[in-house]
Amino acid sequence: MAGSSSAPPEAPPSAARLAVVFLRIAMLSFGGGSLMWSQRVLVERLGWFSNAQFLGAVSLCQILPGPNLPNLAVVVGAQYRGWRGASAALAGVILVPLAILLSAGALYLRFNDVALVQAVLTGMSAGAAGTAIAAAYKLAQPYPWTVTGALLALATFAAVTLVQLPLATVLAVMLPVSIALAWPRRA
Amino acid sequence: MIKTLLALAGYFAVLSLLAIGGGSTVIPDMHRYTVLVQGWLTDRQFGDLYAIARTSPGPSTLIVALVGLKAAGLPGALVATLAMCTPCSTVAFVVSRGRVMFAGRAWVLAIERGLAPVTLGLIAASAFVITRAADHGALAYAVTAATAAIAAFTRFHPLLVIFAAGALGALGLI
Repeated sequence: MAGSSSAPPEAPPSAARLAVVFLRIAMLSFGGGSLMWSQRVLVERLGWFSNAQFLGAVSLCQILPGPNLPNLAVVVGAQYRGWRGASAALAGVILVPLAILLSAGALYLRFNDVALVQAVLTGMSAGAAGTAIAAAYKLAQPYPWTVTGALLALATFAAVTLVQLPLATVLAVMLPVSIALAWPRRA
Repeated sequence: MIKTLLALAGYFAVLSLLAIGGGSTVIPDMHRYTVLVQGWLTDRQFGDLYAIARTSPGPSTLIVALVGLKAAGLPGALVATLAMCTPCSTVAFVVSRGRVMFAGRAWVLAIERGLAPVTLGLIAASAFVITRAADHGALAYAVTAATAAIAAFTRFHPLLVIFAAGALGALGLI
């Protein structure tokens, strides 16, 4: 159990409690703010983690493949209640948002030829694209850029957008190169 | 139908394991495969579904459910969601059990540092592909640029910015 030596373990939350907590985080996480809300709920409101423990869990989730919030649910759930906790937390993150999203999607597929719906969605997609650009900027801005790092990022960007190579191909080439360049050199 | 479901399951199960650095890094490949290769939806529909996923609660990776819904109805949505969630969650579960052993090791740090620039390139690519799918015309690009600036440099909630852009659309301004 990670962090159990530094934080006195109180009664660990039940699987049901894990599901409810992660459902709450998911419902708060509109428009890509899941990291902020997880921190607010898990660290500030519930005190399950110190900030440092939380950052450790988050960076683990960023290295692992898959979306960050579901990964965080699995990691936190597993820490408290093994596979039951992981499944419960994951279900909390996914099931209700999925039902809401499918209802919205079904309405869209039914009415997407109505002129007003098209007009609203044209605007919303333009706006959503803007928030995707802003998210990319906010992640890239604090990164300690080097010439090598910038070239690696640019090469990845160009391979995916301009050449339109499959992601698997791009990763198979870029990851070994990038990790090799970051590998600690023996003195 | 069965063929489509199998294609959805196979594709998203692989994509699940390729999503390093979070769900948004796989958006360009999802666009390539579902719009350009399979033709399950148009460019415009992809942009619309992305906007719907961004404005709904929960991880925006759930856009895979909408793509599945368009490709093969409700079974498609469920198959796509399961395929996208199961492999990476299994990996997360297994790795989280062993994580104390490896934390802070030099090779773990090297992998972390090595992943970062590639991930940032993929996230930028994702923004690029979304913008190109969503925007047709100078005014749409102007709205995207304005919302990007507002979301990056002010404290307005991204959701408000997207809804404001939707209102501009409803007024026929885009």
